[in-house]
Amino acid sequence: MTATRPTRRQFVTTAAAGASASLFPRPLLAQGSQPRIVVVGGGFAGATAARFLKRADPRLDVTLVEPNPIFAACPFSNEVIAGLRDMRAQLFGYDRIAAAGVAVVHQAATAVDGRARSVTLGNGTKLGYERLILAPGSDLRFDALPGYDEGAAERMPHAWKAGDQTLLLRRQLEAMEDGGTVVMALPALPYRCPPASYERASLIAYYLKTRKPRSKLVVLDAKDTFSMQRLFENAWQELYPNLEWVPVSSGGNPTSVDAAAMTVSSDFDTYKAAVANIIPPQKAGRIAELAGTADRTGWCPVDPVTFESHLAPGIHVLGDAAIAGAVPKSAFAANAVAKICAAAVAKLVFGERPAPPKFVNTCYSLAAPDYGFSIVGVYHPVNGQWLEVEGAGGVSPADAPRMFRSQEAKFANGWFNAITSEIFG
Amino acid sequence: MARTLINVPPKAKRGQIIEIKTLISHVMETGYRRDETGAPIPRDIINLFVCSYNGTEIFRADLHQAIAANPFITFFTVATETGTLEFRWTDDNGQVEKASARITVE
Amino acid sequence: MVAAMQAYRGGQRPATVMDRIAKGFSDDEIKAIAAWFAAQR
Ligand SMILES: Cc1cc2nc3c(=O)[nH]c(=O)nc-3n(C[C@H](O)[C@H](O)[C@H](O)COP(=O)(O)OP(=O)(O)OC[C@H]3O[C@@H](n4cnc5c(N)ncnc54)[C@H](O)[C@@H]3O)c2cc1C
Ligand code: HEM
Repeated sequence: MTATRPTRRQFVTTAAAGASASLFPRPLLAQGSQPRIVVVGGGFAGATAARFLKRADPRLDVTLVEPNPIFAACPFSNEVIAGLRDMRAQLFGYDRIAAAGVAVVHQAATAVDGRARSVTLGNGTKLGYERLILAPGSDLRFDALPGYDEGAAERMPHAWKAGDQTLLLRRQLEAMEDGGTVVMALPALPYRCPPASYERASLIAYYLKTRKPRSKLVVLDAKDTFSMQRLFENAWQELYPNLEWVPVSSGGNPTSVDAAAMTVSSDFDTYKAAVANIIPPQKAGRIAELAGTADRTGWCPVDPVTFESHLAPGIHVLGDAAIAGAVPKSAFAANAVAKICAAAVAKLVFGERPAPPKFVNTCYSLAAPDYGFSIVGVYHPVNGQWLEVEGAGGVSPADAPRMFRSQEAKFANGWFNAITSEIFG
Repeated sequence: MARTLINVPPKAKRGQIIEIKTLISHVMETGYRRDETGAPIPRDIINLFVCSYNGTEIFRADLHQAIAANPFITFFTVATETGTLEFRWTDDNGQVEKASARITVE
Repeated sequence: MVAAMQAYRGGQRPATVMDRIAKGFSDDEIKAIAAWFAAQR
């Protein structure tokens, strides 16, 4: 266990801690003791939350629990897959977060006891908390698409968690003979960052067009419509005759895979793949389920102001794992809601009332290296649910000149640099 | 008017239970929309699906609003003899879309 | 900054995303954001 933690006083649990710990509890803390906040998951949401908690109130004793010493970011990993970017540009360490006064513990959380208010780590350590923040991201469901399990993912990568899987898909594309068919399978909603699957299709098509001109890409999709569809379809029409999108109404729903035979089946056809990229259905990270914060859908319903779980008091859920009205499963939103939650928790532990929040989400997608577009939403809570502010947001204009697209591609890079340096820099 | 997909196993053993899958993509008109002049646009959905096996009807479905824009219908039957499965979809305008598949039963 | 945001909102200032973003904020909210930024320096 890495101990960059300042020493702290033991918190004495009172009977009130478990029972009345709903929205606005009275202060539970003795004078001078530091409220302990444990954050599980050091991705976009968790790492932001840890850092901003400390910034919101230096009195807070903040521990960040994350098994990996290096974080591999998903945004822009599609460029790595297409050979347009070095994987090293995706990797971030936790030194600066530790330097900001957060205790960073490189362990996985394995259990949560909501009554005793403690988290158990892989090495058996127990951490007590006044407030727990879970930000474990999405887990892939290896029981949802027949034939697609963890073993199959070694031959047919998902690359939906950045890291080795990203590089595996990259190497397979590079090694593929010109003329081979790449097959992608996309799930139904909700899942982590749907636009990224169409960005990936575009960038794989870009790679094939420039390096494997006799190859083609078939995209089997469990959906008929998706975000920024017109923009993507226009780009495909203009740039990628080698990309065939088969939506559900054309029989594209992926129903099973056979990793040994390298085939992907829909209800009506079986496709032989030289390279297969299978994005399976998803759910909240396992620890969220273990903590009792996930509902039957596999995701975690939360309060819009505090991101406190509707199912488990004292536990907040952020990022992909949460289901919060219209809030998208993006790194941008994960970062934004983490700031909202950090501000709320910093108030709640002292019995104060959090301010009503509002935030912006902007997701950039690249159809080619110099061809970007975006979708914007401004979000506010209305009657306990996150809604988009009407009249704001929307997608990039469909008829914009290429100059506009290349500007947005540049701004996309700027966004990634800004968000990652805010969190990890 | 539409595009259809069917999936019937090309071969089966006599008495075997086989799964049949069908999909029609059809430009749906819900009947709830209005045109620029405010006049309601007439409903146009697939309202009937029928499958027959060597001329005998083996499956029929009456379809209504709020089922699917592009109905995906899957059902099971018993492979009795070599022959043809015929599929017919009918929409509100009375247009009929047809498809068929051969099955060899051993 | 208040002027810039209002111009984005009204479509008078060239933008890729800021027009879509600014439309989500009222004058009071824009003033509050500007005041917050001013206080950071
Ligand atoms: C290919 C791709 C491209 C994308 N592009 C974009 C984009 O351009 N813009 C955008 O905004 N979003 C994008 N996204 C979405 C974005 O990556 C996610 O929405 C974002 O990472 C969610 O943040 P998170 O903190 O919830 O989860 P993550 O960032 O996945 O972080 C979760 C962390 O929790 C840790 N963890 C899990 N379980 C435990 C446990 N039990 N104990 C301790 N730690 C645990 C994990 O190790 C991980 O570090 C993309 C996603 C993909 C797959
Ligand atoms: C409420 C939050 C925000 C405020 C107050 C704000 C403010 C501003 C201001 C004042 C400018 C003009 C800068 C100048 O001309 O010198 C600007 C430009 C810009 N901002 Fe924001 N901004 C916000 C959110 C965002 C977000 C979320 C993004 C997306 C990642 C973004 C991306 C841009 C871009 C790309 C420009 C250049 C103009 C354009 O192409 O639209 N901003 N912003």
